[in-house]
Amino acid sequence: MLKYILRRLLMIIPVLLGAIIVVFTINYFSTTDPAMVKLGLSASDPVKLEAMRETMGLNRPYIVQLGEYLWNLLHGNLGDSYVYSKTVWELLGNRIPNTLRIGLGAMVISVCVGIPLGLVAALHQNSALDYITTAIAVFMNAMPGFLVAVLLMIVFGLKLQWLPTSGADSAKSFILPIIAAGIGPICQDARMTRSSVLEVIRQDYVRTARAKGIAEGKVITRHVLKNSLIPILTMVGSGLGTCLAGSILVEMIFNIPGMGMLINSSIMSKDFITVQGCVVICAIVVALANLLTDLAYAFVDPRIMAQYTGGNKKKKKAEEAA
Amino acid sequence: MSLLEIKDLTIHFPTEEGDVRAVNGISLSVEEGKTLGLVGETGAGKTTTALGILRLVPEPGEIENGSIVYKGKDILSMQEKEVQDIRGNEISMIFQDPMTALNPVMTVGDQVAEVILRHQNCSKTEAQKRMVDILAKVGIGADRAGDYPHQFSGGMKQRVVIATALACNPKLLLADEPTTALDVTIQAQVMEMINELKAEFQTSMILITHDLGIVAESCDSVAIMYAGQIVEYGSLEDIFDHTTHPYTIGLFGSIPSLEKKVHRLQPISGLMPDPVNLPTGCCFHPRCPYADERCAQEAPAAAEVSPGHLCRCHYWETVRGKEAEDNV
Repeated sequence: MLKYILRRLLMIIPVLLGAIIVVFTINYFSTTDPAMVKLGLSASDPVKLEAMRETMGLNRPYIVQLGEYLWNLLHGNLGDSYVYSKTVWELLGNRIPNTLRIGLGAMVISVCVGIPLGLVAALHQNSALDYITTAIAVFMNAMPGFLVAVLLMIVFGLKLQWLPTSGADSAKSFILPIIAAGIGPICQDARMTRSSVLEVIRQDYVRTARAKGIAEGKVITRHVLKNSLIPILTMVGSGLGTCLAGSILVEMIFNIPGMGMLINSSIMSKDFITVQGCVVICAIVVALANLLTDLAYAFVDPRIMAQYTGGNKKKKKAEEAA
Repeated sequence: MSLLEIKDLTIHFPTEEGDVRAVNGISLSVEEGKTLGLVGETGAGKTTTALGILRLVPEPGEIENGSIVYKGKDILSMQEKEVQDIRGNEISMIFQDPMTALNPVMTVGDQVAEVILRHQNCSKTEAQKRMVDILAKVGIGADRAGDYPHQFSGGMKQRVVIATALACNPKLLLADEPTTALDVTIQAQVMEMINELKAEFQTSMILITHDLGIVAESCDSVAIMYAGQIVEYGSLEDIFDHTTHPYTIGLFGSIPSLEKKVHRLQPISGLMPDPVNLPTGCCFHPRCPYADERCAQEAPAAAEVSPGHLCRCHYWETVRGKEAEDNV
């Protein structure tokens, strides 16, 4: 198993490398001149501009610049912002926690609300409860995130005045953003859980469990749920990526200084090195989330575990016997 | 009194295409320690009958009519909790397909121990011990109890299914084609094992099969099912030596005999009727060589050929006479 985790960690490297090269290349070939962005108003002086290009190393060939970026990245250096006199990492540092709070918060509520909802719908298939849950899930899933966010703000922030509508001052400030970012994943998890449970509940082994005299509640928790977890896990795992992407919108609406806001303002001010840094961080987070999902499969399903361990157990047994 | 007495059991599946009439008023009884063979083609309603006994008919199926009296109590009028106490404990079932009957994410030991823990008031360690014992009885070593179903072959999985069914020493075993999914070489082993364990535990059994060979080896009485009805019912000798119903005769005609020289097997022509549109009159009349208008109009009642030997055919006497002539 450990061997497998290490192998999977190694396999993340080419994925990240690919993502980094793509972002870097787009940035490199964009018509924006970083030296111009950095100089701001004084960029009109061609001598200064040329000098700046030289100090930033922009006159070197593409491959050298890429190599340097990767080398710096390896040392945890994401480069210096074009706009602020700070490193990208300094800009990102205190924003990542805010974004992760929203992203993970949305993931947690999607699991805690979506899965039970889907389960209830599946267990009462074709009942009014099922139709209502499914209809709401489809409706909310189709509703754009910004609309949900604005509605939440109006209702809970302005009308009821229960929760703050902007800023990241207290834990309370995160409630509405988390709900806004979580609504989509909740609906997706609910629908995935419903279909997955419905599939499993008709399997022969569920009938076997009932024929053993096991009470229905235990049949569901012991035999149905664990078997229907794989597609749900996939959904939850990929949900983190969705939540991160959704955070750009949510952070802007709720005015939360997170990575999403940073990406947005950096694009606006053409601070592409910062955008690049944000994308790299997101890529790492998503790659790790995928790895965790894959590992979770193995703990749920012994057949997948067997593929990973590749018959090591049998060998061990044989050795013990000998 | 019989251990199990089924009367007029009717199970229908209301669907959008119409009522699927899977089981249509069957009556049978199982004596203590005896084996009843339930024989018929695919789709005759054998499995549905067995599931009906456990009240596990899948949706949208409904038990419309009849009674299933087990030890003097009607299962159909029991509370769900009472039925759960019986399932796996007093009446247990061996399922047809061992490949899908076991939970893939639970070790086989846990699956066997689960039923013991559920019914036998005992500690976990005690349940583990009994689980190892019963697995040993079906020929699976204790070292394999921690393995998952995907690590077992089909025959081994069926052994696990049998162990699960026998774990609580049930009074009645419903064996639904226990050997159909297995290799011929394994079939004999499994049947032998079931019969040995059955004898050891004094268990009664309803053996569902379409294999008349297995019936001849293991059954005391036989019920031949066709289109949700029992067309012929009697002791093993009644059915094998005094075959009366044209359908049963057809079944015997479709298997090769060691004693008689036969050029070609004579399969029953035609197909099993669609349970949504069962034929009028006798369900077998479209395929029956003896059928006439009366058979198409009027459903035959069960006639008593000899004490305990029932046959649902208007012309059983004619059929009987003809068969006797042929056999001379």
